[in-house]
Amino acid sequence: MDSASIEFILFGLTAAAISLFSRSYRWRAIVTFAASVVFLCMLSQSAVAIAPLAGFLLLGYLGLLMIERGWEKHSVFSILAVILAYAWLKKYTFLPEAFFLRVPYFILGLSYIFFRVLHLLIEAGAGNEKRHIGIGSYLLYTLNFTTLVSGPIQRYEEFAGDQFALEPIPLGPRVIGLQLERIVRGFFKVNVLALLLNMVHENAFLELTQPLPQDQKMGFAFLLTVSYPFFLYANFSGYIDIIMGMSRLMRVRLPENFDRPFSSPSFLEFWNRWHITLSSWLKTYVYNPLLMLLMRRIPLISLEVYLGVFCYFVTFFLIGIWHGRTSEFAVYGVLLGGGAAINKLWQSTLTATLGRKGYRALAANAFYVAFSRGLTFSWFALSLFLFWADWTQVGIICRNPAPAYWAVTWIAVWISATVVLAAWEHLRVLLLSVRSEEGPLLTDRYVRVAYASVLVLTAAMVMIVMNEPAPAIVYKAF
Amino acid sequence: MMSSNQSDSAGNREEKLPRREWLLFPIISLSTVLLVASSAELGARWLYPVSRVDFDRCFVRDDPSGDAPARPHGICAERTVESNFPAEYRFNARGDRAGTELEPKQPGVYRIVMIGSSMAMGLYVPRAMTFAALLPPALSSRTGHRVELYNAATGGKFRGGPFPARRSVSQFSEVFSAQPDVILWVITPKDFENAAAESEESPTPAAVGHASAADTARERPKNAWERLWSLVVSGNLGQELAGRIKETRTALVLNHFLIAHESQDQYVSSYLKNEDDAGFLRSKPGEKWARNMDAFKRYATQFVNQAKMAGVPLVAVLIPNRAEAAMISRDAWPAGYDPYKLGEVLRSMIEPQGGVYVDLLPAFRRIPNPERHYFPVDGHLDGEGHAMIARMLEEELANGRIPELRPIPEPRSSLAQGG
Repeated sequence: MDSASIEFILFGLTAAAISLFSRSYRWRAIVTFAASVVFLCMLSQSAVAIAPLAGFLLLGYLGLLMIERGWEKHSVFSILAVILAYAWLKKYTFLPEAFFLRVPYFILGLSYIFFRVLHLLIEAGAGNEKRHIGIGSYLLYTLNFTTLVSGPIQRYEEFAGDQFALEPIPLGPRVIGLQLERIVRGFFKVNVLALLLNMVHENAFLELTQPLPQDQKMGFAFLLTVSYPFFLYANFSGYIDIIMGMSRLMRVRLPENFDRPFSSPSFLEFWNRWHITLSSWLKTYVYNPLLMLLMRRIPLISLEVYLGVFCYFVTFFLIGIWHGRTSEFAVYGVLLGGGAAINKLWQSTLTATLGRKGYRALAANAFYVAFSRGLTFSWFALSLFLFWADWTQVGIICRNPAPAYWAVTWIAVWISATVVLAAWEHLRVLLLSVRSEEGPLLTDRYVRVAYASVLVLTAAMVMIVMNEPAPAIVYKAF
Repeated sequence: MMSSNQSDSAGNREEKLPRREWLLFPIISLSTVLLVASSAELGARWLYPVSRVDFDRCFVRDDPSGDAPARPHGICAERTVESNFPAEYRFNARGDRAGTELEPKQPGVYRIVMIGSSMAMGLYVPRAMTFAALLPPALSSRTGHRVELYNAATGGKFRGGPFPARRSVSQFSEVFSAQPDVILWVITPKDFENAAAESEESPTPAAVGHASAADTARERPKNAWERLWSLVVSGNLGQELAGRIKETRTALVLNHFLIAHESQDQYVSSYLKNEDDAGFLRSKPGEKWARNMDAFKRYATQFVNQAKMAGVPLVAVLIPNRAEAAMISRDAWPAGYDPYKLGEVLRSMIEPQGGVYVDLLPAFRRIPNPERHYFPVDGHLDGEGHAMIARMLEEELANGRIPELRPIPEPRSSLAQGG
């Protein structure tokens, strides 16, 4: 059962329908837990293979119990143990290979479980949250089938607030309709848009390996660069749409993970809109503590900006290396960190030069925003080469077309992104300005029904014609 | 554009859906689907017209054999979604798309009689663009012989009947009446399936008739509702719906563009997922393809033996299908597959009997993206594809495998002049 397939959706909808038999939080928790166990069993297909994951969860829970029993001062050891266990299970290359398990085991979703467990340990260790988390609640939070595979990374209190509420959050026909529409939209993104964009991307890469003239290769390099960010967005945000809809139908609200990221006018803003739960987790648990620590150690106001820049670099570098244990992801982290650091430095320099008012005026200028948006997209697209390609493929890309042509291609990507994304923003504003009495016509419920029907029809058509599954959810692998 | 964040701000109470909405929503959904689907279908039909002109003058549709043999002197035209222009089919007195009537062979002429199925007949392609038309002048110019080609190929299931078929053996003597110096048998992977399809039919027509009548009485639903119900009960409704959707022009156009824009790698990997069609590309063909090959071998043996008895050399060539051509061109394929396998099987059927197997497959290695010269959905060769095969055949037939087609050495005087 793939995580964005019709089978998965039917599974989720069935679980949601069963959970609606009673408003009791116990019943809803039992249904969610049972569905999560079934889901896990279907994915792992072996009790032995799941043992390391169970061990990891147990380690996290023991750490939590220790802190609850008054061992707060030693919480750092629990945190380190969980980090080490994670690196060990993920086989990070800085650990000796001889230590790794030689048998195949199940770690799907481990990265997201890791963030949830760390969040619990850090919060408990900091003494912010005095609470007891039972083993059932802990397992429900960490193994919830809706968020197991690719997040989003939800805070425990938000999860528990909905999941264990005595009076569950309302679920009227309007909400059900909106969630069903969202599931349809997500399904369409994953199974149609991502499928087609993946075709474009793979085709462009293969064409680069063919003996073609440089100008033709430049065209394929352009397609290669622009198709992947959109593919990744359709693939990941589509999946998130599906599970958010499902979860809401089970009366649990998940945090948004995307907010029109390609509309972002800066790289820093982009990460407030792309994989939001990951970047806010790292902001809370890495950026803020690190910045505070450095500012305490180096109390020089003149260096404050540079400390911030450094902390951004570290945070985004961590985002990069979280994605994988190979050197490609380390370079990906450097590119993300570099982008964020330069962006921060640029903002600070402009503010110092133009003054706050001057900078605000510049940042509001439509042309400046459009070019910044284009630059953000092109930098992200360039960074993503290290995300999807291994070094051999990167070598092929660097040679095809020649570096001078690549420079032209990148400028073309920047300019095209500037123009196209600005045009899209204007179109969006224009479309939303068409209003009925109840609000924008496009968000009218009848329009939504028609829109969802078209998506279903198109998805059915493409799936029947193509007769092949869409690419797997990329973030499932992390 | 349509954020679902609104869902929770609006869902602070479990409001009831007004009754009229229960009716309105399905109506809106259904009418949108109908409107969009019919507009797409009309648009596809308008932009990608399909035409068949005078097909009844060309083919016998009610032939007792179940096939549709070509009518002598029939003229008709056909244009498909995938072809850019209509192809005219003009049949001679023998019902062959030969471009000319069969006339006694002139002295000094080397006559190739080509047999085969729709690919050899040049389905969907104007005759002037087929390799049957392109090959003779190219061979004549290259070898110095006066080469002519008489195309006796049939045109597939609905264009004259599959080839080979049981009656192809009994009627093989007709090929000799065309006075061939060589018989060129153009084979495609589909022919292996056709050979087996006929072999699997019940041997006695009476038995077939009896069985079908019984089946008809028992199984055929009386009306649309019964048919629908039987599909639901048998669990074939989804399959039937998918089949119906695939038959629409919209699906055909969409499929055409999707396949046409797939890279070699994507196309091959998606093609290989269809085990039923792609079975012949396996290093060890499965049961179904082993049966196909056995059935085909029986025909091949009989054809080669008849040709040998008549003293006419028989040359067999295999034209790969689209996926096979792509795999050879990529020079890489997944473990467990071998695009050369069918060629080797064919060689083992033809050569031990005394026939000649001309291997065109290695030539596809030198051609980048040869699959682009096939109609993406239908799988037949397009005009470029026919030209590609004509060049390959010219190369292979003139290279000495057929002694009579060895190039005539140029006279010394002209060599001296040229040098």
